[in-house]
Amino acid sequence: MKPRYKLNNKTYTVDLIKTMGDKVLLGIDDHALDSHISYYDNHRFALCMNGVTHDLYVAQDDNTLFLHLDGKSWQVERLDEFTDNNEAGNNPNGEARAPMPGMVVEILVAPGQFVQTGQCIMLIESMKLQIQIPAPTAGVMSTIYVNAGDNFAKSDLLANIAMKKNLEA
Amino acid sequence: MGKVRCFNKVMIANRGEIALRVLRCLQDMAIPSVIIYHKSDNQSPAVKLADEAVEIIGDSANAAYLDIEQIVSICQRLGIDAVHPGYGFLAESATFAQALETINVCFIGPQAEVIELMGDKIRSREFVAKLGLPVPPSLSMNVNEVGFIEAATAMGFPLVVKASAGGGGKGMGIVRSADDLAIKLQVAASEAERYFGDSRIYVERYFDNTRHIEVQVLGDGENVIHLGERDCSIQRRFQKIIEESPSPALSVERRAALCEVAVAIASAANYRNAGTVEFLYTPEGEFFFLEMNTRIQVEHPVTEMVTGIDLVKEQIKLAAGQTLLLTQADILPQGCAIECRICAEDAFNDFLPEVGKVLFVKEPSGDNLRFDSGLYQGQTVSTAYDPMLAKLVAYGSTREQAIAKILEALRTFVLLGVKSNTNFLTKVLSHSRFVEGNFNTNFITQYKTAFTEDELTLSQAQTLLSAAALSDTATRALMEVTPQPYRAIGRWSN
Repeated sequence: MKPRYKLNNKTYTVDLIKTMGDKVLLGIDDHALDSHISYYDNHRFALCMNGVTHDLYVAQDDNTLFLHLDGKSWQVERLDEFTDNNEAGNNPNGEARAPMPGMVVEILVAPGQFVQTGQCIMLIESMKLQIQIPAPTAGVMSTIYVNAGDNFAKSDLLANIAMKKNLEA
Repeated sequence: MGKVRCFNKVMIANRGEIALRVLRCLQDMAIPSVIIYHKSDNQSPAVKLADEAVEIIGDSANAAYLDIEQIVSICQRLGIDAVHPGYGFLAESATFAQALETINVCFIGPQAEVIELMGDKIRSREFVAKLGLPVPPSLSMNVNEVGFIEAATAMGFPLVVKASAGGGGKGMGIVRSADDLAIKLQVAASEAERYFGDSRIYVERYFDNTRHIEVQVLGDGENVIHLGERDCSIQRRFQKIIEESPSPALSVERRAALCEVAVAIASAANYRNAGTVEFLYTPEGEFFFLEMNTRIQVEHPVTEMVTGIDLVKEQIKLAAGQTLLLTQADILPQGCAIECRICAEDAFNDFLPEVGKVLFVKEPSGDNLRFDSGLYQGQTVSTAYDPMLAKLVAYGSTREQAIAKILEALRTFVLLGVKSNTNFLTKVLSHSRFVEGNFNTNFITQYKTAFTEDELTLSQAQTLLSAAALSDTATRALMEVTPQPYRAIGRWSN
């Protein structure tokens, strides 16, 4: 499987085709590019790509590469074959997921209660900031996975709503 | 320079950039320092550089920095004679000031009764109204009192709900219709209870299109002078992100009028310390008292850059009982200074806080620049604290020069490992309305379509992806294990 990287919510296939001396021929989504990097130190290097040189800073944490190019910072994530395409955040199938790590302040609805799309179902707190978690869809609150005071990580499932459509079916 | 030896040992009861800022001042004044820290901050520069560092224990980091009993006992044990509270945490706690007074330790701030009076939004506005100075129409009834909703509705919308003991946008909300009122009151009261242990809230008339302009004052209990104003209208989530001095909105006459009112308020309170009097400033040039902050503020460097006065040093000298040696005639602000707050947040996604680990930092540096930061490599940015990581301040003899300087500095600032708002700040600082000085507190929401993440060009994406793929440790490991002859001839089957 060719390595895939995610940048700005878009996934690219980056194929290492071959090395030619100290250059590497890369295929990015079928564009062939010859590239070469030379390091100044652990975090700073020059990238020469198709004859043009760019200075960059880099640091890596697991699968995430943090890059600084032309005064701006970017994140590039290497996706492994086990990474599915499910994105964090609320999705249309009734799952309310944590947009960020934090703590539950207050749960505003009870299981079995009917909620409207966008209705605030709980208050969470992160970095001294209270944020409302909206219902991702209209339906009946089926399960709440957290209690007031609980800590959770980014993308954790907070609550599940049985959608109106499914209820009718 | 003349050494001022007024205290024998001063404790810094704070963390992050302000702890380091206060520490540098103590070192400059040759006063021995003690810092308290929660274990999550044990690698921070202020902890490493202070003469002594004492760990404080708490269920959470926040709880530790707010533990008055523990801090007081450390003061006694180490023979501390004064405490600098920074901003946030215990900086406006009259209880803390009182507890220190009881054991004969000086609180570097105003007298406990002045904190009680000016730190409470309801009491302070009543105080200012009694002086015959302008305050916005408001309602300070108990929320559960019969008739509250009716009285609030009668004031007319929009309204703003605020925590009486509050600050920093906590427990605040704008209400534009009667339908919204009940839920906003509930959210505000619950936030106020959690952050300040005081659920009292009040409702005030909200003015659209106003600026937030504040006046820096210094008082010794008898004399009060002002150090000009700061325009802090660029806000998100009711929190300032860009501040500057002077305000591009004020004429010489309006500035004099505003500063005169600020001095009158602080004088009436017999104010002793550095302090800030905050005002709403309408497009018609009217102004209303908002609140007074009885502590050093986040944005104080802006005033220091234009006046050349070290406000933390003044605070320490005033707390030690020295009289104010500066007179109003000594204050001659020059040029323009702009500050922006670098925060761990996804500014293009509703400013949601970001967490991570600082993997690499390169601070901006140069003439007419100041970078106040507690950032260090290996630092964990968690949800335990406020998202502000550092402050970047630039000075110019004109506003244009200050803007150019800060934009250039933002470009050279490198922070890897945690997403920050630098790209967003660059967009705000380069926006034509900002450059013209033509903005109010709604600026960020008003022009939100201009503040979105840039689309990547194909060549930028290719550059970033090539750089990522080639510097990726997984690729480098693969290159090392693949023998050279094979590398050259075949396509990898990864």
